[in-house]
Parts: sequence; C-alpha cells; structure tokens
Amino acid sequence: MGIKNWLNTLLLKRVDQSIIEEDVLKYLYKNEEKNKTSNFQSINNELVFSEEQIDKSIQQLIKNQSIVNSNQSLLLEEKGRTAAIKLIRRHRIYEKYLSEKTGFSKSSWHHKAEEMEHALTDEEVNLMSKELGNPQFDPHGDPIPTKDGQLPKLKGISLSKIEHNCTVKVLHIEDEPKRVYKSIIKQGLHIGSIMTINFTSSVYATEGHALNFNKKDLENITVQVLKEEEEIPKGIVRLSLLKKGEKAVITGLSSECRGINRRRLLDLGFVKGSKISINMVSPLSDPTAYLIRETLIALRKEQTDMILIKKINNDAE
Amino acid sequence: MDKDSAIKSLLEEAAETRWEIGQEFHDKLSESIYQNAAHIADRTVIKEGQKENFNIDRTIDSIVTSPIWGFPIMFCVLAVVLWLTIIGSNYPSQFLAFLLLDNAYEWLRAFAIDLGTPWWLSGFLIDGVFLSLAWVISVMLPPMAIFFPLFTILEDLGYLPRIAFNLDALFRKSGAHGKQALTMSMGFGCNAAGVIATRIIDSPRERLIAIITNNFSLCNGRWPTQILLGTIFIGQMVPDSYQSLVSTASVIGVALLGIGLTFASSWALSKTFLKGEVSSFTLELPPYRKPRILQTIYTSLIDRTLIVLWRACVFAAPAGAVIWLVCNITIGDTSIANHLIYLMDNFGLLIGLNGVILLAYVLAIPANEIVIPTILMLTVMTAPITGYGSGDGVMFELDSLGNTHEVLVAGGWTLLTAINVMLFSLIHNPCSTTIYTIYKETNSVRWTTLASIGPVILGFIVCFVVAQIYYML
Repeated sequence: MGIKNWLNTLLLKRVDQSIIEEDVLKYLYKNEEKNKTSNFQSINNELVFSEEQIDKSIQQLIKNQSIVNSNQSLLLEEKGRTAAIKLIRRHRIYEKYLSEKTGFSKSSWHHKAEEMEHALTDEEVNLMSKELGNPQFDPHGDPIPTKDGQLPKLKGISLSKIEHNCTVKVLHIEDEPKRVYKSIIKQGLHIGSIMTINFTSSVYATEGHALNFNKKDLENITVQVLKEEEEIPKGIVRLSLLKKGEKAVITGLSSECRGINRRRLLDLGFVKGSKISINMVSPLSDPTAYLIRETLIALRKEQTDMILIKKINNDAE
Repeated sequence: MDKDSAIKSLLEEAAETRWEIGQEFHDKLSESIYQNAAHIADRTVIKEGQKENFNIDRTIDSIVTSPIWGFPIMFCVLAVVLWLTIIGSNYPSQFLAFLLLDNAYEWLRAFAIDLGTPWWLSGFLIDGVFLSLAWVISVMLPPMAIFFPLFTILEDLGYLPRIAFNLDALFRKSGAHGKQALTMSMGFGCNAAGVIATRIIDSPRERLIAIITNNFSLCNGRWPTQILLGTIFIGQMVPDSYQSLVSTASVIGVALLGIGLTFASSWALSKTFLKGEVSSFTLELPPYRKPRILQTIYTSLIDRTLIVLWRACVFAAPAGAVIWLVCNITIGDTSIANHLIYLMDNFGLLIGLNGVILLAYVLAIPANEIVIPTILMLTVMTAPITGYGSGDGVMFELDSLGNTHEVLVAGGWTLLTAINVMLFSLIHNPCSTTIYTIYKETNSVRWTTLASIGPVILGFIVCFVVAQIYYML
C-alpha cells in the first residue's frame, strides 16, 4: 500500500478529475451488473486514486445528480448510468480497433483501452465504429453498447458452473485480472471455438487440443451449452495438427484471426471447402508449406492454429 | 441536391444492410468467389503437362529445402554471386577509372587552362563536381550492373522465396519476416536497392523493420574500405604467411557483425518503436520458371541499376562541389575544412577516430565510395607529409598499399583508428541516396529519422567502447 500511495502522489497528482469520476461510474455500473452494492470503502479498495481524490469525485457526482447516496451505499442515477455505458462503449470499440487495425499483442489491449477510454470523444468513437463495420462484440467477446446506449447482456454461463459432460461454445474470456487472462490465452483457447467437456476423463478439449485450466481460469470463461438437437460440428481440428501425407478440407477460420491476417488468408483461398495438404517443412521446422488450390503457401505455426480443418480419407480424391 | 440525397439514402441503406448481414460477411463473400471461380475453371480450363511440371517442382523443392542440402546450397549461391560481383567488377571499374579519372579529367583540366578559365571555376566544376561524379560512376556502376541482374535471375527462377522459407524461423525470432533474408542480401549490393526490395514484404511492421535495418548490410561502397584497412592494418599484425587469411577474416568478421546487428536491431525495433504496427505473415512459393535472361538484364538495369545510379549522381555532384569548397574557402588563415577538423578532433579522438575521419564521413554522406579518397585528401592537407595528392579539395587514391599506409600513419592513425573506421564504416548513417529512398518508401519523416540517426549513435557508442577497451589494454 505504501508504494501504491507514493506512486499515486507522484504520478496521479495531475490526473484530470473527470477521469476519476468516469472510473467511479464504471465501477458502480459493473457492480450493479453483478448485483453487488458499492460504498466509499469498496471504491477506494478497487481504484488506484487517493482517498481525497475519490471523495472529491463522489461529492461532485452526487452534486450533478449522476449518483445518489442511500443507506451507506452508492447507487447510479439514470444520468450516471448513461455516462458509464458510453465509457464502456469507448473502451470496447477501442479494443476492437486495436485488435483489427494494429499489431499490439492481445494482452496489452485492455491496458491501452483503459487509458484511451478517457481521451476519445463520442464522435471519434462513432467514426471508429463505422470504420470497423459497427461491430457487435469486442475481441474478448463482450457486447459493445450501441450508439443510443443499449448494452445487450452477455449470454451464457461461467465455465466453472458446468458440471456435466457436454459440448459448449466459448463466448467470452474476461481480460481482468491480467495474470489470469494471460494464463488462459497461453492455453490457446479461442473465442468462438467449440469445446468438449468430459468429466469422466476430466478433460477440456477444443479443436483437437487438450486444455489444462486452473480453477481461477474457469470462472473467467463464459460459454454457451450446445443442445443435443443443435448441429454440433464434429472432427474439427486446427491445421497445426495436420500431418505430412494427410489430406483435409478447410472448415473455416477461427474468430481470433483478425484484421489484415484474416483478409490475407481469405484472399489466398483459405476458405471453407478448400482442400489442403502439407507439401514441405522448412529445414528449421517452421514455417510449413501447404498445397492449397494448386498453389504453394507457407504459413507459420501460430497461423495454422487459427485455421480449422476436417481431415478426410486419403483414398477419397 | 437530388443526387446528394439519393447518395445519402443509398449510404444509409448500405450501413443498415451491413449491420444486418453481420460479421461473417467477408468470409462468405470470399468463399463464394472461390466456389464460382473453381466451378468456372473446372468447366473451361484444359490442363496439359501440369502433372509433370508439378512433380519436377516438388523434386527441386525437396532438395533446396532439405535439412541437409538446403543451407549449403544457399551459402554457395550467395558466395558465387558476391564473388562474381567483387571480382568481376574490378575490370570494368578499372576501365571506367582509366577513362573518366585518368583521361577525361586530365583532358578537361587541360581544356580549362587553354580556355583561360579562372582557377576557382575550373576547381569547382572539374576538381569538385566532375571528379566526384566520375568517382561514383566508376566505383558504383560495375558492381551494380553485375549484382542486380544475377539477383533478378535468381528471383525469376523462383529460388529466392525458397531462401526466405528456409530462413524464416531465424527472422521470426527477431520479429522479422523471412523475406528480409532477400532484402538483406540485396543490401550487400546496395542499401538503396535493398530498401526498394522490401516491397516484397507485405506486412507493414516487418517491412519497416527490413527498411530500417538494411543499413547493417555492408554495401558495395563499403567493401573496398573494409578490404583496404583489413589488408594494411589488421593483416600487418601477423607474420606474412597469415596476412591474407587474417585480413580476409577481419573483413568477413565485420560483414557478419552487420548480420548480427541486423537481427539484434530487428528484435529491438519490433519490441519498442514498431510494437503497434500491423503484422502478418504469408509466403507464396511460386512454381519454378525458366529465367528470361535478356529481359531480366534489361529490366534490372533500368529498374534497379540506373535508378540507383541516377540518385547517387544527383547527390554526389553537389557533394563534390562542397568538398572542394570547404577545402578552398578560407576563414582567417585556414580553410573551412581545417576549422571543422580542429573542431571535431577532440570528440573524434575520444571515440578512437579523428577529426579528419569525422569530416570525411559528413562530406561523404552522398556516397560511401568517396570516403577513403576524401580521408586521404584531407589527411595530406592537414598532416606533415608532402608528395602526395594534387591539391586541396582534389580527391585521390593511391595505387600502392604501402603509400596509403604511410599517408594514414602520418595522419596519426593507429591500429585502433583502423579498427574503429572499419566498425564505423559498418555502423553509421545510410548514404543520402538510401535516406531519400527510405523516405520515398515509408513516406514518413519519423521512420526516416530513426533509420538515419539511430545507426550513427550506435556507431559512436561502439567506437567509444572499443577505444576505451583498447586504451585499457
């Protein structure tokens, strides 16, 4: 705590009051979503600002009728809720922008968006959204609030609540705290992928890969259970699991394959229905050259994780 | 107005439709385009002899990318290309030097005297502009006219993408693209051409990395400097029988250090300045083709050699004029050059160089080829030695290595100076042609500045550290 306070006084003295107010509103909104109550103490524990700064912001927010203080707990008024949703929109649109148009790594998106959400204007964000084709979800699977402030609820349930064998679709991976998020993406779990859960062998598997989650990881993954009668695609694995001499048909690209990378792969013919096989492997074992639509294209290992295939019988030409 | 509102409503409809069709739209579009194309091709394209060609290609591929033969073949090809360039360009270079420096130059001077041209005008035009142009053309043109066609033939053959395929894993570790192996090799010919060649890299981040680090490929203009100093200073340290071995090793060592720096700086750039640039990877391996030799020679001469030579000349002509002027305009009793040398001498000595060398590197920004002639001229001008050169501001080179050694030692050179000039020759700003090309290719002052200033700072640091270690020993 000592270092934190010291850093605050050193670095955050000049922090704009409005930034703290916005962060307070966002915190209140997120707690409201979780049906938790908020008070001065819980805000002070969560945010990195000093007690005076937080107190000053809360007084200001009460004064301009964004929040009210009732029975020792702070509640959002309509005005405050609208502001919080706008902030969330800026955050998620910016994350989407980072994922589609820049080369920053997955784990740095959230942190960068935390800063930019205070700096961007609504007009800039609307322009950004238009440029990105009005996306509905951010790269972590969170719904993006619309221009007129509608925030659809995230569907699905936490993976930790599933206790029977089933097949699920991964909807959302929580990006906070960073340590847990990093451990999940290290496992190579992709949003939008199909995962099978089998408790008898205690194995989570997706696209031909077995996954080893910690307990904390499970809580931060949201999935949707696929019902029996729904068409569950079977035998889909990643291209990285194709062996020399085997043949396969591409079934699609993972939704983690974004921006210019996705468009390049589509342009080169990595589309549903293309036949693919390995032609040769580099002497340094990466990249691998694939024969697809009568051309030879070399891809790196991390890209072949993004391409989904279904192996086919060797005899069937 | 009517038109405007029609366009507006159309745009609105498009935006609404885009929202309705959702995110999968692009995938579905590409999918259906490919389906259609495949359908049309199946019905109409007649395939003949493709199977055989295909099998031949696969056989060649399995050899040139095999774990055993892949690398030896690659190094042999590169060695042959470099050998042909360095050895083969000697003869036309000597011929051009004979033509332009020995004959045309003397003839022009005689002609100027006959006309009664004032000394400053003939000095400015002939000793300055013409001499510098003649130097650049005779040293630069032959190696480029050999190197670029050879390279283009390999490209046409389809072999170059296989090199990128073989080496990609090494480049991937430093955040770069395998194709950088090719632009790096191209840089051994000429950095400006290497920078242009980065167009083959389609990922923005990797392309910038290749552009900014290309300077660490020892270019044609710098090989002669390395060979000269390696021979007369480094080779001298050992007994006669080992001389050529040691001097060759020192030159190759500098070139390898350049490759090492390319990897190190690529890695550093990808982690810092270029972290946010978009990055992607794809490498197409086209079928092998019979190279079209004549067409290749023609296009590589037009596209690469002449463009680069033209740019070099545009910068070298004024540089020659400036070199002549700073040596012949005096402030007080001494020339501007002497003032500048005096000014930079202390800093130069601190990093194991000297004022003459630093001034030569400033004056010779347009072309690395004229660094040694400028150093010799400035040394003769300032050092207590007579009998060499032909006047202030007139660049020259000596036929005998012994004489060159004598002049440089008279200028205060030690083994440390030679080592540091060899290092600084590798690690300094790109020539102005390359800087201009970088600006043309990136269209950004920021990246051009980084690519120009970064290496100089690094060069100063390296020279300083080497000098301190040398003094301690």
